[in-house]
Amino acid sequence: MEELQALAHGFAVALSAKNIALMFIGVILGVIIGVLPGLGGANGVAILLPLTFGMAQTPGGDTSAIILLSCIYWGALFGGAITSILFNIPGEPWSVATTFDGYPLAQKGEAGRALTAAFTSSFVGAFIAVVMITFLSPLVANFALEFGPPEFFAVYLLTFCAFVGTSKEPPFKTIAAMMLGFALAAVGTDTVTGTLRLTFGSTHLLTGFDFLVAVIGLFGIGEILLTLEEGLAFRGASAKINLRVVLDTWKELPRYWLTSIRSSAVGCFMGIVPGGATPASFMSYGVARRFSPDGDKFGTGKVEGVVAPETAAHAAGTSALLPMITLGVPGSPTAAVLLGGLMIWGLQPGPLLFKEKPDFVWGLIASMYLGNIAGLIVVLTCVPLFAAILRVPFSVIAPVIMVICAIGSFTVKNAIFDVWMMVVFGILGYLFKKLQYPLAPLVLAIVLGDNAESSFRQSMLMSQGDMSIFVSKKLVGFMTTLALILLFWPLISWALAKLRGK
Amino acid sequence: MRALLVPADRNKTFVQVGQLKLVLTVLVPTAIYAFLVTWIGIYVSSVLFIGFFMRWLGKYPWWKVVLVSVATVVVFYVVFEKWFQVPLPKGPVESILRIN
Repeated sequence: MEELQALAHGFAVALSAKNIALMFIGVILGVIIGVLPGLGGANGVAILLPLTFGMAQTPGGDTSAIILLSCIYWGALFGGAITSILFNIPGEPWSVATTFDGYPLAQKGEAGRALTAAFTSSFVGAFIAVVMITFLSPLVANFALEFGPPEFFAVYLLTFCAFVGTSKEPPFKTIAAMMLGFALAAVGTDTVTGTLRLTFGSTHLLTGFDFLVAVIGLFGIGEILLTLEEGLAFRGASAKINLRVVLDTWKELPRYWLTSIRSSAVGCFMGIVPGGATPASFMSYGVARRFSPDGDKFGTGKVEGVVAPETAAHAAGTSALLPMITLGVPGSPTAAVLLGGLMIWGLQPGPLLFKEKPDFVWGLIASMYLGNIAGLIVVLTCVPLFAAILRVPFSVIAPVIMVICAIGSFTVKNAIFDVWMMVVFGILGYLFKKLQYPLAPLVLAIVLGDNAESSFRQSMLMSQGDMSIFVSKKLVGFMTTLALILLFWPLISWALAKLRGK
Repeated sequence: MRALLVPADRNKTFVQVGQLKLVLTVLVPTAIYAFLVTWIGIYVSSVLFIGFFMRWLGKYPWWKVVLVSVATVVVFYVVFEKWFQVPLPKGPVESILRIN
């Protein structure tokens, strides 16, 4: 049990007073971010990332920095459920499915029960995913040590194709969003030849678009513009959680163990292949409705209908970190931002990280266990406080969020140009959401575009331009084939349905 | 509710005039704000931006507008410049006040 030993060491790293304090700060910040419209896991972490530059320079500081950032992520995952249940406004896209049964429960005056169920099942989902990460990630990392450029390109290809195959948006919209992301990633200096691409003579574009700015604009400003359409006021049920409600709900929850397990499995799978938390929550809500004995009563306020999407969303959100730390390929936009953070701190995510920085990796994994416990404590005790944030009038909170976004964009590179880019990306994000194009493939393409390109070109140099290098060996051939199957999955499933119909 | 969220109904209006107006009331000031940051720094423009929103959309009395916008910016100044030591763009007003 080498992993357990390493994990125990990780706990020793994570359990310093400073790191525990950071965990609670991170979770509280994360819940606030999750509750506020316009701020979410991805852009919340992006805004706070520049603040950790200084922290990461001190010895052992990179572990503290990642603990802070990942706890913001856990907090944001928890926070999304609060607004869904109390206000019928999903604070995060992955908590949309939670509104279906959570809000009816709150209207019946059982908000406490719904919230407790949501938080507890989030915790369970995350916990199962962390256990999986603990035992699976060293294996994946060992496996990935053998990877050369063709294998890495196959992993990237798999990531991109998985988006097309598993997205709940139409595949062509996913592809269109992804291609726009690749175009944006191509701007700047060519990494192999050093020539300038698509800069149109502007010095601001020499270094390309920073994806952190894109994330802040797309998710932050875009979200605020969209919220505005709904009007300026929030109306919500009041939140009261006391110990009795919590204990009563906990007594009830073991009844839904099968739903929990199913949802965790869906979530873990969707998190590792970068489907992300949002499709995972919808999928597991659908699965639970089909298999549950009272599935036809879903939507009227069933606790099971809260358990299913929350478990899956957290399992997916957590397991999205597995490919990030083992392969350097993030499974969700927020994981992509964390990955960006690692690279800025001078850490190279990927299989070597386990060998070179075991303190960091196992400290992070241990903090996942502790962070989720911290999160559960914080949300169960402070719900009324967080709900009060939403009662701050929109005309005050909206400009403050905009200012925070602007500061976040500026601090990425200390460039005012990025503040303008944020506004442009905000308009783009608004249009994407209005036209129901998915944002996640765009972000992942901006983040991974350069890496995918350079591994493709290295492979091409190795094989002297022969594409068969991507099917030449067993492993790389397997991944390429799997990627192509996923890419054409919408067509395949359509054809299968046709055949079965006849 | 579910029918609204899950399937993409094809004949939906892209945006209503009233909604577009609301969106523009935020978008135009934000664009102006981004340009103002270039000339007068992020602090003064943030005060103006938050103040504008509170006065124009929220119809708050002036003393509340001034109090909230200035207090917010002071908090940002302390957190970013003092606590995390991240310098933010400043303009002529800060140089008159000798804040750096």
